[in-house]
Amino acid sequence: MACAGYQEKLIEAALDPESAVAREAGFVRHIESCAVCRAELERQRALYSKIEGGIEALVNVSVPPAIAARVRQEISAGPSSAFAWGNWAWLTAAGIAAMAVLLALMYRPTVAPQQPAPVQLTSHSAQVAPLAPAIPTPQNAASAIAPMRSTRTPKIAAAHAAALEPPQLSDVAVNAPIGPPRVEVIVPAGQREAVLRLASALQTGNVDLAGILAPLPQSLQPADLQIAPLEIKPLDAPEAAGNTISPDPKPSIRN
Amino acid sequence: MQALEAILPGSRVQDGSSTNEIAQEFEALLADGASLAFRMAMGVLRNRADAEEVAQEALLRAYRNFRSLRERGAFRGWLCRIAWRLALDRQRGSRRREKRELAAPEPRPEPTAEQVAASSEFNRHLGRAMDELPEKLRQALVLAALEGYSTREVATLLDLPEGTVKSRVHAARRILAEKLSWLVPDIKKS
Repeated sequence: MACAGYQEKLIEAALDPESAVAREAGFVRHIESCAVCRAELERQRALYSKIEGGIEALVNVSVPPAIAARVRQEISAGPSSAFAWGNWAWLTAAGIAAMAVLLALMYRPTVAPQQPAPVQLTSHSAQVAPLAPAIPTPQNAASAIAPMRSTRTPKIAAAHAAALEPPQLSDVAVNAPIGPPRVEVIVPAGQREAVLRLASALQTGNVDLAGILAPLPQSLQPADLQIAPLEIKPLDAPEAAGNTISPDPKPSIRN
Repeated sequence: MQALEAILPGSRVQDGSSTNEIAQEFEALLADGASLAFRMAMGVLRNRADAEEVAQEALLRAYRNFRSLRERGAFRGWLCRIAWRLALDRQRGSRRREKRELAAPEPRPEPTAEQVAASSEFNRHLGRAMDELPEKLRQALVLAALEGYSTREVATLLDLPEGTVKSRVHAARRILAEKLSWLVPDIKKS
């Protein structure tokens, strides 16, 4: 074990005998007088010498002349060998890209021209209770907003309305479309006019504050949901094949 | 070098040299490059066959991309980096293979100083200790050990200041010495 305070200096001196530490007068004197540190310095020098010798022996080996010859040969073999992988990689990439395009064309969502969907604004207020007898009115708001090209906006309005006031099960059941697809929008009773204004503005393409605040045309006056009563008929009755919704305001059950 | 014409028929590189001139240039650098690449690979892999393959691959890659090398004076440093990367990749690959093959490694007792007296044993430990060095230190150490390469030349190869190379080599040797110190027996105090 080297003397305290000399361990680091010993390592430095062993690593680089020309360093300032190795030539420091105090250090030199100590090494001359201390056998332990002198032995440790020799040991460290032997260690570094072995390390350097080992690394030099490892890397300074004779170089096989075949390397350059083989490289020349590979280059002379031409692009078939030197660039074979590159060609295959390009071909594979091109094939994958072609497949991807083909799949995208095959499975792309088809945007069919949509029929103008009628929109019916309904309310789940007390006066449109599911079992209340009512007659479907042709002058409802749906027909007024029918020419709308997209049904997205009323759906969004419906979603907002639904978020404000959760719909009841009866409303959902009553508004399920029967026959040709219809878009029905459920809004809280107090917001029907606002939704209609927005729908009207979207329909006319005049979506600004003035358009939304403009008075509603007569044709867009909201109508309460009219629910036709269900008519239950035996399956074997010849008239059962018709529409199950009767315009009869009074519910009737036939046996 | 006939193949070069086939790959790059009649083409001229950015500096205006023709494919023939490129081929001649590369040929002139090939012998020295082969030596450098092989020795760099040996510094990492410690296996002649593997180092030979790596050197060959490095030279081929260098050849394929020779046109993109604007400064031809930087060829050796460039090749050096290619060979170093390839050697490290191969070493990692072979280590993974070794791990797979040695599913249940048998425990080896730590050898005594007498057992490792032989230089081959010392070199084995040295190799392992070098593998554990940080890459920057290891690269500088290997290059500095190459015959005929001064610190200045190593600095040029690594595109680093000379002082940085010196300090890296110094740090690498120190780490190695700490790890291998137990292999050198105490010298009798006199």
